[in-house]
Amino acid sequence: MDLWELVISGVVMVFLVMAVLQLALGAVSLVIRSVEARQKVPAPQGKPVERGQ
Amino acid sequence: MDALRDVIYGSGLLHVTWGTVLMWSAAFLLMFLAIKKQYEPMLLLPIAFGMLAANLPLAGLMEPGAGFLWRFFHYGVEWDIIPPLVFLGIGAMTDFGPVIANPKTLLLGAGAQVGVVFTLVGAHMLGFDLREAAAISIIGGADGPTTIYVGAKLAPSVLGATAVAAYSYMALVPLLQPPVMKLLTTKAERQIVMRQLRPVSKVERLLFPLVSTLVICLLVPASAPLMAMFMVGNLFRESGVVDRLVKSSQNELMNIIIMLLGLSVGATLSAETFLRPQVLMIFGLGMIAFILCTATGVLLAKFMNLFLKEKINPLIGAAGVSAVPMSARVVHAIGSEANRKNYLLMHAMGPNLAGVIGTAVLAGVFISVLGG
Repeated sequence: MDLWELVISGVVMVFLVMAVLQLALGAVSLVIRSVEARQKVPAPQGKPVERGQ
Repeated sequence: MDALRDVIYGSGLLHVTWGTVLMWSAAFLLMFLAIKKQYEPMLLLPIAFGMLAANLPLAGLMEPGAGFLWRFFHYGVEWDIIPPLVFLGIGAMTDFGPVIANPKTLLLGAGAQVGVVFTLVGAHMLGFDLREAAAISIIGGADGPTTIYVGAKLAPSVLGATAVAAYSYMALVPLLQPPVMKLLTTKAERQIVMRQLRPVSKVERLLFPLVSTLVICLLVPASAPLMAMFMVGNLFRESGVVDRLVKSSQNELMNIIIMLLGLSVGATLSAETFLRPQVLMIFGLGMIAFILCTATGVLLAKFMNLFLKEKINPLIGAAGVSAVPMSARVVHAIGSEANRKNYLLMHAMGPNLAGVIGTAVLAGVFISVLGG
């Protein structure tokens, strides 16, 4: 094994793993956050009902 | 009288050499640093005592197949059991929130590893073979268990020296990093205030160890022993349902493992392996690796700022060397020195944790390419 092959494979793999991990985490958190946003119960709309009505 | 003479001749006293005395002195120095200066005492103290014990003439504590400490070393370190268990404990202690909230910081963890690669080239050019050079350069990753893991796999002859160098320099992070950080950044850059990190949901925290295990172990299978244990420890923590396992991983297991690790690694430091000119070179290269890793982390952060709308404080790149959480604390201190309103600790924890992952990935690459 040549020194420079080791150098290149080391640098490429570290950046590749981190880039893929970053994309995967970004995608996962995007999905989770959009699902969570949809599941939020909407605030009650319209006029409040007064007592005695 | 013959019996008395046999006892005297059989004692270690008559076998003490200058080499053993020098090794005892080195052990006492490490003990002084651990106890008085509190330099990584949890590890330096058992390492120092292991070093002293291994250099007791005729005690045979490191005799292959029979020595008491040899058994710890052989079955614990050479069989790859102890370093992954340390990662289990670290995983159970780690909050990955800063990485999940700002995944860009993962790249900074990779950036700091470039310094390791530069050191690899330097060590090889100085005459170390590729396996030794890889074991020496990984010191720059500032990760003790990974340094020991790579040393045991690739170059057991330098393992003791690389472990001592790694833990000594980790304790010296507050002295080694600030000059490099200040040299490579302007005051305006150090003053950059970063927006507070978003809160991270429980589901994201639960999925992080699973996604990371799949991605990392599929791409670099040789890093799986460290990464799988790191992530299962974190899964225990985030699941919230195995409190006893989390507490054991963080405390009892971790403490026992650290004692065995320190003693057995220290015991590899015999006079024959330690008193060589190469050991001085290993310590010198270790320091260079630390400095280069700090520099490449900061420089990558500056490079990223060329493309980012919302600038990051380039100081956080320095935390890409692992040394958790010391390095993040140093970043925070230098940042708040430039701007009192700057609170960089949590921002720096992202690259800090990414550095742990990056070092383990690079270790996996070294092992798979050079054959562990």
